[in-house]
Amino acid sequence: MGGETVFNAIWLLTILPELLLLILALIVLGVDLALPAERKRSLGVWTAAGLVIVLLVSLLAPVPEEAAFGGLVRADPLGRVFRAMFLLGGVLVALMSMDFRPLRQDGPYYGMLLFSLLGMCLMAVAENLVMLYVAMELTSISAYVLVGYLREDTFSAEAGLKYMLFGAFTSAVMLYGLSLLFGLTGGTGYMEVAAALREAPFSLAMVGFLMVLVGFGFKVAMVPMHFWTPDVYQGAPTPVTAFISVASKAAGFAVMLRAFRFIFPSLGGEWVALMVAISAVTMTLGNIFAVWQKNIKRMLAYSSVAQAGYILIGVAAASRLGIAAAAFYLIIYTVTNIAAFATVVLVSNLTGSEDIESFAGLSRRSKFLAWGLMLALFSLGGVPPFAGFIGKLILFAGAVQSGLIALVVIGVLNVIVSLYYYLNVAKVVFERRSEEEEEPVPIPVPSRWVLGFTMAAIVILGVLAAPVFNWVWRASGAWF
Amino acid sequence: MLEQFIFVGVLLVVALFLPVVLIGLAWLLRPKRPNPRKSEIYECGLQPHGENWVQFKAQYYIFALVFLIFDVEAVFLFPWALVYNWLPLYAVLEGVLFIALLAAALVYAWQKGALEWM
Amino acid sequence: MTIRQLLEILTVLIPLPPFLAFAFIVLFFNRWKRLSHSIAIGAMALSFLMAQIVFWTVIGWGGEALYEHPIAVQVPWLPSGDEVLSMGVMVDPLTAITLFFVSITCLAIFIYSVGYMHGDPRYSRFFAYISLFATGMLGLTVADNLLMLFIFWEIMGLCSYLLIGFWFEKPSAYRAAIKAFLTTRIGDVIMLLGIAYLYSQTGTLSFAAILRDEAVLHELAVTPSVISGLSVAAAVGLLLFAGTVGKSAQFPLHVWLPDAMEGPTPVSAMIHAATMVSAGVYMVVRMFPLLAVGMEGAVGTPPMVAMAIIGSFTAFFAATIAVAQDDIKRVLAYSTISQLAYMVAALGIGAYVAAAFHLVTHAFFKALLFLGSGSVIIGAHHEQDMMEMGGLRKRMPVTFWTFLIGGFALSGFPILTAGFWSKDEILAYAWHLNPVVFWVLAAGALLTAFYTMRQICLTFLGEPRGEHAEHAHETPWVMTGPLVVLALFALFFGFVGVPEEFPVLGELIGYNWFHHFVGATVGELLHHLPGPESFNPVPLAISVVAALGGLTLGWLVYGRRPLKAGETDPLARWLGPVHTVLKNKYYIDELYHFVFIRPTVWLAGAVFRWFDRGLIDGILHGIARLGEILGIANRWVHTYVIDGGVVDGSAKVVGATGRELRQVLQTGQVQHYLLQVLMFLCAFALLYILFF
Repeated sequence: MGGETVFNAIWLLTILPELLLLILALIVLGVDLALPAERKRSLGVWTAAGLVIVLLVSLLAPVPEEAAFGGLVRADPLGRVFRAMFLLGGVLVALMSMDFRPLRQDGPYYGMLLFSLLGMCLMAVAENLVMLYVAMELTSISAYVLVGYLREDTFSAEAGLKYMLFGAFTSAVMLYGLSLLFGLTGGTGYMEVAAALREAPFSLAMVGFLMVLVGFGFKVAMVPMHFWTPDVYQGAPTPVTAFISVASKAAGFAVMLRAFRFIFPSLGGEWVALMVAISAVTMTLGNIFAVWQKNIKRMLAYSSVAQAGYILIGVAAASRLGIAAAAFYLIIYTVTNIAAFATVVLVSNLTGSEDIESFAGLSRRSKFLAWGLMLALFSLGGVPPFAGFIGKLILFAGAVQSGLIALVVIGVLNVIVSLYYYLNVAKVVFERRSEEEEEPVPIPVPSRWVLGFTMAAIVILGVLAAPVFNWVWRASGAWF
Repeated sequence: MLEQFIFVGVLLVVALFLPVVLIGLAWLLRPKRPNPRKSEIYECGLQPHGENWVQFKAQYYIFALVFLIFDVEAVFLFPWALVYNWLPLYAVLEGVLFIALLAAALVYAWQKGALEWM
Repeated sequence: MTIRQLLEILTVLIPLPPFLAFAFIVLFFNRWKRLSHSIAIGAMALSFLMAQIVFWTVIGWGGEALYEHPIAVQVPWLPSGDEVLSMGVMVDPLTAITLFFVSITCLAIFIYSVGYMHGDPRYSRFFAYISLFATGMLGLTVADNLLMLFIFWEIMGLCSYLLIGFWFEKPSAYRAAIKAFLTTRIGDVIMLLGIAYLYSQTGTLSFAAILRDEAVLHELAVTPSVISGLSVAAAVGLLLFAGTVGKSAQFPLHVWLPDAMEGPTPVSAMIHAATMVSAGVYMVVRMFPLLAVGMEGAVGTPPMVAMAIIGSFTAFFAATIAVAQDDIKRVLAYSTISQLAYMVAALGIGAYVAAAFHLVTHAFFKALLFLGSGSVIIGAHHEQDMMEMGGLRKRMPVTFWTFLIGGFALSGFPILTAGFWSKDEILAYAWHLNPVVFWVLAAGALLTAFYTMRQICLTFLGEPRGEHAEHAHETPWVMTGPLVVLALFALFFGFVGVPEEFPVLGELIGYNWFHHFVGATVGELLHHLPGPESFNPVPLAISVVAALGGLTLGWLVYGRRPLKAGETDPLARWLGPVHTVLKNKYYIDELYHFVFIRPTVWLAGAVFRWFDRGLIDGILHGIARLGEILGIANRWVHTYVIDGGVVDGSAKVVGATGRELRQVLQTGQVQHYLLQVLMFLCAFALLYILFF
């Protein structure tokens, strides 16, 4: 560091949400020790309330624009958008977890959730390869534990193991890639790496890019790094599934967007071509496989792969509109997918099953739940006027602006295919009768909040997208 | 820049070459007269019994993990302690924070009963 | 807060209460009938109040002032990259007057429905639907851009479908609903093309940005479109006009409107007077500056010529059909088509204000007539055939007198009725601008007066010809009340638009308020529109002769000697086969069925048999077979090559996923996954290393 400032107190403002998260995690673990076993469910409230405060602080606190800690992190507006997205997801998942019966309500669970969030927040603002790697590992390792949290359940244990093996492998490959980049450029800050990469031989830089891409691809579940998705989604406790399907994926996109924009601009057209191909394959494979699924979590897993494909359209567009569209879509995807998983939690509590068949007669058992699921599926399927429609529209607009017409055509075809399996669930919910349909589904208060919020968000973002999109759009301006 | 990678390449080749050659040589040179006694699993000179897949008590791992935390802590603290006198206040506080965090973790593990042998 | 800001807020809020009423009734209150109608009427009354406040306030400002500074609010709505589509409301003179008559007629119809729908099993649902309908119309009225207008336009399309098929137990009702929906859709799709074309050319759909900007209009008028010989403005105008043809039931898309009579009568009134068909005309009136741009003297632009031709033809054509109908509501349906055609024709020759004027007066007297006919239907125990009626004058006096006023207004009975003033204005312009249009419209007017008189005589005069008419009774006050209110408007509203040059009355009133107020909507353009410079008694005389002559003729045929029970229509005796053709509406439905529907059904069948069953299913089955084979192969590999005993759960997952194509990739075993990732990595790394 030489003559530079070693420490500047204002840097702490940059990572204020992360610091608060750490403190919150310690508080939750401390409270866990003090609470008797039967009252530990209230830890969810502690976590959610704390996260709301952190979210508010992250939105309202003044943040210095320049990089902090000698270029390790930079809390630029888009990074803050992503941070808010993760924290929102965290709040909803914490509330949702309170109602998932098979789950042990205890401190380590919520603690791990918070540590994982901490890692994600750092991922969103990291501007240094080492920082990036550490943040990603913090996120991943906490998530491995969460996935295998139902120790008695062999599915969950298996899912945890698979997730860890796959994650460790891809992260190792990424680490090789990072070291290759470091070797090529002699720096770890994004800007230094990018500057030196212009002089570096193309093929080596590209290999480095590919290896890093493997790590990112694991996080966002894109083809061919998607294999873990169905098995892990099915096995993991449902709130955790929701968590890794939204926050973890969004974190992957946050680092991917930033890395592509700032590390690899010199590779330009090459990575765009690759991403176009991957995007097309990802959404197509995800949608086709989703059609066959009988288990709703597996179906949502493949659907999340397909959704990653849509978001990759924005990545491939590589323009301001593309990036803003991807970020905006992730916000929509966060609320939408959480709504879907929240209904799965409540139904599986009651029926003990996660088969699509077990949703039969849901509309007669609980109107609220049926409509919650319906809004979520409509939004995922891009039915106007719900949020998912606007999101896809802007993504496609971004691609058109960048001249990727073919990709848009593939995207639109995929949206049509996806409607088939989303509406299939709708059919089961509304048309199929079941013997238990007289028995209403109880909706506990936390889930009521989660569903109420997400349903409102799906509708409001659908009909009045402008304020939120403008926020994201302004934020994306700092990158161009 | 690129030339520096030649060393890496050379090292890679050597690293691959050496064990292969050594094992290969040993395989070539050694006498091959196996008997049942020789093929048995080695277990500190004791008579082996049971399957070779055995279950460990999971608590070993927890002990090992808790130990590892302090092991790693020590590794970080040595250089810190060496230059302690020249450190700015910020770095001292950072070190204290680090120790405090690990201590909090230890207290947590202790309270959870991780240190009681069952 | 200034008054202007207050009005802006009110305008935004106008469409909202009926929508909330719709939502609340559908979601929460559909079991409580009384509560439902209270909510619906209360909401409509609120909208009515707000609309009236806006209307009366802006009247005080005057047309020119409102044109210069219309009430306008905008919010960004749909971001699309650098541009943001805005949604907003705007009140200019045309909007104000439309709000005025729409809110009055809607409220009257809402109140009336309480009586008409009494005892219906889906009472609450009915009020929910008409509330949504009112939302559609009010929203369309205040919309400040074409996209928003189109959205509300489609909401009304949906409502018309729901309401025409409201008694879906009747096969004729749901068929009519589908027919209305599909027929109007033809027009809507073409209109959407027009909107899209306009947007692609100008980059905006805002009325203010297109219609008030001379430069934009001029640009559109001189740019040639993809169709040779047509400017963009003309092409867009023609495409938009297609929407009106569908929505306002002009020839050749008029077929849905008479069938739409299958809905409950308040709905007919709603569709025919207050909302849907008016919306079609409202849209072209609104877009008139675009349609008229490039007009030189009395020579109209291509869209205007099309409107003049279709309008005058439809006006006459529908009137001839109306002459031979026996269903009380069908007669009115054809008269609606014919009257709307007057407005279209008026626009076609450039009589902008006259068209708007007729739109308003027509809404009043047609709502009155429909509600009157509904009152007759309820009073006569759901009898709709006029041949079975007669003698209702004594049994239903309020209904009779109000119906008479409505009928005379429709006929254009001189001086006393509103219909006379608006129709006379159209005829006066037509005389001046286009004699052919004039004579066709005048002939239409004659027929109109004739069939109106026929209807009045058959329904109310003479002796009852049927069982139901015998026991008819007057309807309750919730139904007659609205009739009386609307009758007042049908009588007196015309005096707001008396031409200043009109003998005696013109001088007495001295100010053609309607002309000045609504005419201000198009600003400068009004003064460039051709029109009669001075009062001309000839068209007035012809118009009076046509109205009175038609009425007298009707009286002579049906009134002087009322029909006896079982007697055939004298017209059928005299006209013979011509009457049969008229009665069957020129066989146009049959023609459409033969030319469009039969071939479509056949084609659909053929496609289904050959393409769907044969080709697509064939391919799918092939893929399924392939998947099966791959699955079997994979299973074999699993059993014999790869060791079966991995983790317990893996086996479970493998078992659960079944033997499908994805088995090859998604084996449930993490080592396979990793291998595939590695293969991808190596393949692409090699690709880049070797080829770059």
